[in-house]
Amino acid sequence: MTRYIQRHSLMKRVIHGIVAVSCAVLIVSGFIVFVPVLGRAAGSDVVQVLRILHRVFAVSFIVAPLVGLIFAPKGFVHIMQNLFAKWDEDDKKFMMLFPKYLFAAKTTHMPKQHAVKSGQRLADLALIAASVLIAITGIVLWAGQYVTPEVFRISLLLHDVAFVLIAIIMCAHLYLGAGIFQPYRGLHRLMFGNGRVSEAEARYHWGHWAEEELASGKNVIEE
Amino acid sequence: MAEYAILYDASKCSACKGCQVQCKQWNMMPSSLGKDDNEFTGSYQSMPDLNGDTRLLIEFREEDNARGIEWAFSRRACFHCKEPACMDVCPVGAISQLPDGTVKLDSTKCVGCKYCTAACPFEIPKYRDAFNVSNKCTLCDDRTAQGREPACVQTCPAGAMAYGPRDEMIAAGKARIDELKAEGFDKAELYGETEMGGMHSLFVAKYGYETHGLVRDPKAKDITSLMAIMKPLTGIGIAAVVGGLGVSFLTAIGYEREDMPRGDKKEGKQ
Repeated sequence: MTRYIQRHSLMKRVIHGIVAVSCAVLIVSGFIVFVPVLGRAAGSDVVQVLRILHRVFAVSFIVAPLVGLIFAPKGFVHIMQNLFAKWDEDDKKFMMLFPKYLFAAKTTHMPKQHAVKSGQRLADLALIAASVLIAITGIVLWAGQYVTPEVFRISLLLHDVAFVLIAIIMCAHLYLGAGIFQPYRGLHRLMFGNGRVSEAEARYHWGHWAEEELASGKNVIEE
Repeated sequence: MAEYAILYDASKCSACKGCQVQCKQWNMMPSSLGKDDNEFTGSYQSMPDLNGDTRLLIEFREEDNARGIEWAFSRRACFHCKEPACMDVCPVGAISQLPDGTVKLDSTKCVGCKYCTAACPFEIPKYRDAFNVSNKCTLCDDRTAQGREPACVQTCPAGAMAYGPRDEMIAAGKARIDELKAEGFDKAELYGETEMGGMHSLFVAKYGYETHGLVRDPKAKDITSLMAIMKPLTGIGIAAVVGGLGVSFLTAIGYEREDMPRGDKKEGKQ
């Protein structure tokens, strides 16, 4: 018999899935416009289709998290509490060791972590900030005919800055979250599977959190 | 092929707006016909600025000087820069430069992103809502290809506009500046000879650039330059991250958790 902990709810996984697909389409379609050489090679008809797709998926990118916020406000508060949780010694040590861990995982021992690893808290905050920025500036660009050229120019620049941030963070997020990084293999099931994590995995990744969950037993499943 | 240019002489312009009308007529651009459709500008000027259906506008600028109040008329339309910022940022290649120097916007390719307006130091291209495209003067390239003058030039009753080889237009413009200065218009200047690499729409500014609303020493918007820098930086940033993660992946191949426990196992807690 194996013990599992339910780490992510169905709603969280569905919203994450919608945002992930939207983000992928937005990055690809945005990249074609971002690099004129690509857009010119693709031709204006293809670019026009991509621009429409960009707007359709921009809506799902923005609306999906808002739906989550409306229907599960407690979940949103919980996410925010985790992101802004005070850093303890293990958090600081984790962050200090993480660069070494990335390149020498076999010889690096990482400290226990709470519900969200300290490094991920930083990455998530940067990702959320960049996402809010890209959403707001995207709406301004969409309404471009109603704003002054100066506002349009600044929005375009900030949209590009946010795009660069998101593209870079997503590379790391994909590498770690999809379990391409060997010590993290299997983690993709957390968001793209049933949202459960085995006791051993939980202890390995989030030691403090696993102990709390196992002690409370609230989200523990035995199969 | 020789470069061609329009020479507009503000000192000869009577602001009859015939060029505005002819531009609309030739290019089939509608005008607002409803009462008070256009915002009142406080002068005889037709509308405050160019718009999606208006490629050429004669501006009325009042100059209060020693001679009393005089009008400084200005022809506001694309200058057809030799180094067009709009062309650089167009994501679909809808803006191109013809051998004669004309900067052409092909509306059949335009996707209406408005990047050209954002990049242009004069904010000349305007969004044409009804067709979801940008719009600007094309120097009537369809006419000039057949050996004809641009529509605005042909219709000007005051002879304030001429079209011909650019070097000839520059020579004519400079000669006119000398005449104006001899008449006492000390601030008279020729606009477009060197601005933005050299324009293909030259302007005899009777009262000087500022009075006619011309941007002195125009440059592509700084933000546009920043955006241009960001593209290679993005490529380098992503390549660095992907490269670094690639190295990380290679070093982690063969990782077995049981063999390399975490701190908690080392402490005997797992």
